[in-house]
Amino acid sequence: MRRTRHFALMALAMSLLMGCIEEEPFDKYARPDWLAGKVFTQITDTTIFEEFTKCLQRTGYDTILNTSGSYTVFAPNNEAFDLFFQEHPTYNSVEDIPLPELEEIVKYHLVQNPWTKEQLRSLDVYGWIDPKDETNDEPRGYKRETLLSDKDLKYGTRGTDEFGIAIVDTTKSSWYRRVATDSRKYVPIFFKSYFDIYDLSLDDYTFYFDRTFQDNNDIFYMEARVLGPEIFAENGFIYNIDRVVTPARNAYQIIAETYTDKSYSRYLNLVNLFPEFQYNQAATFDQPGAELGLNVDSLFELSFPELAFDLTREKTSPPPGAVNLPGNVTIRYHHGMIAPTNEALKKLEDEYLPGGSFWDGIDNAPLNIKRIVANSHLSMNSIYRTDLELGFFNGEQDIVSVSEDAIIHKEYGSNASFLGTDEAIVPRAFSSVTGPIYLRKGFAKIMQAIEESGLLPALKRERPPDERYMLFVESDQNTSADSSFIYDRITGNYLAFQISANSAQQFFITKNDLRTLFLNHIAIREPQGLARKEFIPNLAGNFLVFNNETGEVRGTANTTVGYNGGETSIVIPRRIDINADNGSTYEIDDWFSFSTTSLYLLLQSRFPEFFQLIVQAELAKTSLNQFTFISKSENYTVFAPNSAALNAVQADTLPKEDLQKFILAHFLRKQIVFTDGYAPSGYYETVRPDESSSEFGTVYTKINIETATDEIRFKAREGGYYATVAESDSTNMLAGQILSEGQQSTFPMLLNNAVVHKIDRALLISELDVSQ
Amino acid sequence: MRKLKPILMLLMALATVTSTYGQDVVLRGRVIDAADELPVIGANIIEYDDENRIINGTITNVNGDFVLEMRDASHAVKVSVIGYETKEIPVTGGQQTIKLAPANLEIEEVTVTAKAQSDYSLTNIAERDNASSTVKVNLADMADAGISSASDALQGKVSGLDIIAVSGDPGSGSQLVIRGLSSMGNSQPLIVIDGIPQMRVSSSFNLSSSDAEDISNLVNIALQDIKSIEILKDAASTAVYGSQGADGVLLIETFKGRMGQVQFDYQYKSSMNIQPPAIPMLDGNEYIMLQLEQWHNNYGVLNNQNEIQYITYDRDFKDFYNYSANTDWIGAITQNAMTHDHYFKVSGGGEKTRYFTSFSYVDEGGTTINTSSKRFSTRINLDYFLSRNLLFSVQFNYTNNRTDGNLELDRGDGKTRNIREMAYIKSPNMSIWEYDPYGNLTGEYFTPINSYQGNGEIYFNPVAVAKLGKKDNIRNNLQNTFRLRYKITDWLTLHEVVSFQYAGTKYENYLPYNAIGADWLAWTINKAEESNNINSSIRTETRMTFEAPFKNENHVLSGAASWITNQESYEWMNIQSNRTPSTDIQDPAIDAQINWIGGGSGETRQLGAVGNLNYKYKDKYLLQTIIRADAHSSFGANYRWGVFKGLSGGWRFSSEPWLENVGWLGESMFRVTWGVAGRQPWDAYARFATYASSSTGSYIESPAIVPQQIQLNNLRWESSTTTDIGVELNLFDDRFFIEGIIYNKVTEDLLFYEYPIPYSSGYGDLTFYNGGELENRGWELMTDFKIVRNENWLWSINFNTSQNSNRFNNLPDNFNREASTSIGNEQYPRRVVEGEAIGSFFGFRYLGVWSRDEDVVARNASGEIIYDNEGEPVPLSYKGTYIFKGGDPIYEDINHDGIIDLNDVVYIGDSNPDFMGGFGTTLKYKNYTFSTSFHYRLGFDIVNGVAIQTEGMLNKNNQSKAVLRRWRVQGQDDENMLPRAYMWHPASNLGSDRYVEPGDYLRLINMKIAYRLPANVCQKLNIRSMNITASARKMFTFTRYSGQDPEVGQNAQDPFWIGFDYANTPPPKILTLSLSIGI
Repeated sequence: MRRTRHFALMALAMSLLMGCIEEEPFDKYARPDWLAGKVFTQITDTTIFEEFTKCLQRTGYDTILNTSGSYTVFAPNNEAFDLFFQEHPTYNSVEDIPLPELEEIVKYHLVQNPWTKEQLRSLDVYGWIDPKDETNDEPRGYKRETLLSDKDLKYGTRGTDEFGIAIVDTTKSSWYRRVATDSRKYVPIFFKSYFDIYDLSLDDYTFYFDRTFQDNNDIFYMEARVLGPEIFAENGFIYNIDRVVTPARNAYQIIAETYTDKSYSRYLNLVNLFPEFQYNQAATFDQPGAELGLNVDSLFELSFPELAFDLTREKTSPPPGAVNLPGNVTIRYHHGMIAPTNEALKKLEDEYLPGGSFWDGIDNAPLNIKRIVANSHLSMNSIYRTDLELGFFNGEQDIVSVSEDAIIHKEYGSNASFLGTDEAIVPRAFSSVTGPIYLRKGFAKIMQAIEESGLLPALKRERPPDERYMLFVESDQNTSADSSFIYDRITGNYLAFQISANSAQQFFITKNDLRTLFLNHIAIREPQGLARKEFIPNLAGNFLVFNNETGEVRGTANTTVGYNGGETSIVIPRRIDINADNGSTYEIDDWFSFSTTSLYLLLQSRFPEFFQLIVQAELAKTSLNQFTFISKSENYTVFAPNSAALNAVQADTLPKEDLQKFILAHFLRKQIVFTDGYAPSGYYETVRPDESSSEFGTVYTKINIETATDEIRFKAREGGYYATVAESDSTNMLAGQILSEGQQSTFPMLLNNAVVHKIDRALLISELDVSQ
Repeated sequence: MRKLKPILMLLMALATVTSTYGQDVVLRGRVIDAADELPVIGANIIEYDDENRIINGTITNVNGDFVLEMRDASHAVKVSVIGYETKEIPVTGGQQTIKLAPANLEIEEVTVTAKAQSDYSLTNIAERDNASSTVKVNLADMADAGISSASDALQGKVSGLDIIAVSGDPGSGSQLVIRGLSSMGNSQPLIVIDGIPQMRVSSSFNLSSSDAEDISNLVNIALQDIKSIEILKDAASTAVYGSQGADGVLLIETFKGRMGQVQFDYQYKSSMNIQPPAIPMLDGNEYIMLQLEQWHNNYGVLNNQNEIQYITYDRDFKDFYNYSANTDWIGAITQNAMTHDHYFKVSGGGEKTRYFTSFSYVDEGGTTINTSSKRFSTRINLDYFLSRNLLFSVQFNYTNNRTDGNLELDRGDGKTRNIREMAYIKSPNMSIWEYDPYGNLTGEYFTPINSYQGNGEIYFNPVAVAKLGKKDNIRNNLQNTFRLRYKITDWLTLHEVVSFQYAGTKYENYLPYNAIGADWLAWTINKAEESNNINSSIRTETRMTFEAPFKNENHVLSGAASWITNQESYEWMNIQSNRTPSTDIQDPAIDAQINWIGGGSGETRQLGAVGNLNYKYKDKYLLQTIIRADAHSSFGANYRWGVFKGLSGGWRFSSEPWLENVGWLGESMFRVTWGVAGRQPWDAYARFATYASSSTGSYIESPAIVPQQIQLNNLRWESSTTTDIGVELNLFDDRFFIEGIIYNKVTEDLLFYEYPIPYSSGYGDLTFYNGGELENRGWELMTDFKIVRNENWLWSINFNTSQNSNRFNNLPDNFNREASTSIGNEQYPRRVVEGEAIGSFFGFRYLGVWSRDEDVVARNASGEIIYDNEGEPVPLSYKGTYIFKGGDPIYEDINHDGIIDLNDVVYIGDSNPDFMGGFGTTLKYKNYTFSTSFHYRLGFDIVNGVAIQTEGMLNKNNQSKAVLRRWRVQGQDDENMLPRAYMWHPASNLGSDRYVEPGDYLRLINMKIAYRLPANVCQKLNIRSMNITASARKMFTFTRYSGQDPEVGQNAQDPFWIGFDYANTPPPKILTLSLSIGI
């Protein structure tokens, strides 16, 4: 009893205490009731994913998904599996699918991270895009990383003479290289704004997947349509999709596959020539057991630096020029491949690489031709139907368009969109003026130098009909014979030898020299053939002189045999192209030469009286060998009176100011006018300041000139002609300047900036037809 | 007894006056037991002079025979031995047979309430007449409870005394604050043990732990040695300690020997320390989910694959097994531990000599792994009456304390992190032990150099650091006090005290390479550190006390005058090296790479003069005055002397004739006190200009020194003035005791440490600066009700409460009132405002979570949406740089400008309790005792620092399970939902009232059931007494606070302090079984 009383007292005390305390707050650490189960639990909560549930259970992903991590599960519903079994008659149930294949399928339906529907559409490499901002035209990250990755990649390799290592079938090689997997596979997710931003249409989706958008809010997971809203789970979301999606293959896997109705093996052989294996120490040491000293395979990175993109990599890279991007660009960029079937490639070879003086098939062609063919079928960006019509840049930076009729295979790969065609893409390097150089044997040195100098894109550019290129090149044999253009294979240098009687001096040809050399040998249009001589600008800013009487073509200086040779040669080019679409190509025996005599020296030497007058008029700085009124950045046409003409007007007696005006009237500004009649007739501005000038601005006197074939005529004020300049040895004398002054150049950069014609009557403004 | 013999002989020799005279008488005889007539061996035969001084003596041999040559036949001779009645024998020649009767004295366990003034007191005021505010707590009842320190025992016992356990780790101290924070320095009361103030830390070395260090003096006394603790709360009483008394004084009195038969007491206490459940943290699986979600919500995709691979739960990852664990880090570093406490004492004495000796050994296990504390202490208190007027006392105390702790490692920002904090934030998906890629254990701790969270030194493996690291602290304390009391006349007494104190502390730290993830070149590899600190002091006290020189009984005058000197010195050295060749070699002095060697020393001197006068008229009217002047070497000539004073008046109104007939009124008093006490800076050299080698050691290639500290000639005492009005009532035959006090304490000339000054002065700060005024006011109530009191039953209830509010009355000139205007995540803008309390919180008002993106719009004061020029709703942003989205927290836009910034910061709470105190009850029935005591603090707020760290979801730290309630999808609007997870969110975890929680708690701190063996049973067992006690400590805490423990300490050093719960080790629940045997 005493004890009872004791405890009763205690109980009373305790209850009093407890009464003072407020009710216990809710247990904030308890799992909230509203928190959904994990992904697998949520999937099994409904009956529409019964088949997919079996898949997860067979592959062990039931446990994984219900343990940790964060996922978005694109779960094919039961109807999707029915369809899948219809398409795969060998399988009647999930149990029939071999486990490795099933695992791949399952992993490809599991995407890393929890993505809501809104989030699937509003991501870029820089992070979230504000979906409310309708003006936002940032690119969309439309790809997502799945759990599927190709582990244990092995590539059989063999050594090649030309270019290190080539890939061969692993079964055909006694040695192989294991490649570190760079990433899990990505999967594209299509939605309207993605197509809108790239100016594509929803048909472009249909083009690949043969399905159509029913409304603008549709989301497709590859070919599967997402049905209904996302299903929330503690560690992610679940989407109901109406197709079982087969894991996408990368570009390399697609062309390496064996098909019954087609084969891309020839094309595969081509790309196999361009791998680069780089040892990856970190990945090698990262392999289980490596740190314990156990034997592990060396792991390599496989890339294709010569090709437009890395065919085997799951991580796609941004196009060239995209800078300062964050690490994960794969979500935004995808590549493209248009692979020719073996037949298509053969057809291309037959057409462009026949035997004879041509390479006789692609196998015999040099590596860069192989690379061009390979790259012509690749693109940094994925290729949609819209691109096929409008044209797209391929890996050779050619704008190409492909006929839809030629497409026999469409597939949206994991790193590239893929189109198989029965018509190969003709590289522009073949169809343009560079064609003969690339396709014929005997120009390999030049071909290589053109690429080295970076001129190929310019040369193969499409041209309007009246501006077709004329490309003049020497053959390998010719340049070797006179040593004017040598390629040293050992050092990779280009050289020229100046050969004299007793010695040969070696000059290095730099990349700049190469560029100058070639640019000087490309006329920007073809001659008309009317005038005795035609002066056609080349891409270097000089002129090529076409003698229509003799057929000779030369630069503004005499052509010499060999590099800077002492012996003059007459070059009659021989056309070698078949049917280039942007010009014609000629073989020449010696490189053209160009004058570097300045206008000052030219007048001083050829027209001493006129020159003396200029000095007298104080228009020359003799110490600097310069005229005060001549700008280096302008072109001039000079009509230099001979001594008789000067005497006739007693120019030397004129007061200084008048003399200056007299002299300056003989210089035309801005324009080089030849006697080939190419320049239009009309008023040309002289360097002479007109009387109508004011302190606010100088007006130059314009004289009326009529250009005709082999003649330049000056119109008189009173009508008729005041004077005529006829084509002769004393006309069309070109003066130039060296732009690469101060630099050691084997082929210096020149610019013809003035032409001088002898005139036998001094030009008096008072008598000439001048513009009012 | 034999051990005492040489001491006694020595004392006798000292006391013997050499001048002898008179004829010699030789006494011969045999001493036998009166009962069995057997010889008594070792009995003392002592010759006393007229003044009762010992002149000569001898001891009986094995036959009980003795021979004593007397110096003077007129002297008395007494025979005494412990266990027998003392007997005076006749001085006659010839053989005597002396029969000694056994002493039947049995001293019951009675609590002696000292009515007379203590010898140790400086004031000579009888306890009954004390008019100032003091409380004396008898600790005898606590000795068998499961507490190991006096501070534990005092918690909740005394109104106005706020005791907060710093940490639940063994050997860690407590914070004691009397009547609120009143200083910018160390607000810890002065500890006085048996009249000797205990040394204070006086160097700047290891300041961070000085709070706990000071109070560890309390820990260092065996609890069983403490007879009582008296708490002096008002300045009228603390003024007697002058410059050290401003924070209150705790007077600890230890047991002394008492006359009687020798008594042996042994007590064994065994305690189980049970770790309270930790905050539930996410397991590895949940952590991975959370981290992925954080990254996803910020960036969408995870960019850095190297970083992400650890949390993708990828079974192909080679470290999958190391990063897919579900490690309960907190569980791994905590344990339930045992404490063993052995205590043995011997006490006794005769008329001349009384002795008390104790030995104590406590082995306390910590609830954090690898923490423990072992303490050995011994105490000898010896009183020897040289004569009727002359008492000589010796007190000797030695303590050896060894604490094993865990290293705290640098966390990369200059601060350190302990293993518990690490365990809270450590990725739970990391395993403790390392696995190879195939899932086999390698036998090593998993300590990668770089993990998902970062650097392996900063994000270390707490289990590895605890198990492999070493942080030992060995402390030896020695105190020796000699006292002489000479009663010059009946009313005048001279006291002379000389006391030596010595404390040696040694720290030994070692961090082996395999405890952390660091490469071999890191300087933390095999890091060894050792430091030694020695503090010593000599104190002398000369005191003259007098009392009642008048014959008139109406007037009683007493008083004292004292002259005190004190000299303290310290020295320290520290050596730190790394890369010892083996983890087995942990001494920094071996030929390793020395990182640092340093040392320092210092000395302070203090003089004090105290005088007090106590006057009592008709035993009813009391007036007590005190004045003390102190000089301290910390101050320059201008302010070297400080004067402290006190005045108290008491009116024992119950003695008034007109109340004599009120039968229920016992002795009661009304009192008023006023006093001024002081505080000196802790740094012995604060006032000196100092110079140091320039940071590079040279200037333009020449050796150079630079000024470092300004000369402070006008540095002065901080003074604290207290006014106190109280009433003390004893009612109903002393059954009800009630004491109520109101007080006001104003502290002026506050000592600010490192007070910032403009850099244009050439210095960054003044080491100390006097300025400002801080006021504490409040009231206290203590009650004790003896509800039932009869032969078999005793039931009493005690209750105390107090309220204190503090505020800055004014702040020093140029004082920067804002310590931080930073409003980033986990930051509270801090400021002090004149007229407001220290510890006020400012921050944002948290209103929940935005359910969806569209909801996040700015609204005007009427709640209408604000539109911009284009008619679009203005989004709500954080500082105009981040627009809030669905899932982000809602902060109240106080000024309705659509921008959450500093302008929206408001007052959101304060850390000072409104009420605190305790209550308890004791129920005794015959030999059974049951008692409980509670402690409470009410009306204060805590910033739940653990929740901030573990619910923010914006970094890689592990989070608590509370985050399972996080927002996850647009439109989600569930109850008690937390904001979304978002890596590096700029504003999802701002300092707001989201984390400010009421800290109110009521804690059952002690519960005890004791049983005392009945006397008759003891007699049969041939023992004196035997007690068995079961007690439980801190078993229940009633609180709404969601953190680990609402017992959050204060930091008086920082005026911007706010009560932040940093998750120290929570106090364990302790179950104790105690057995005491007395023989």
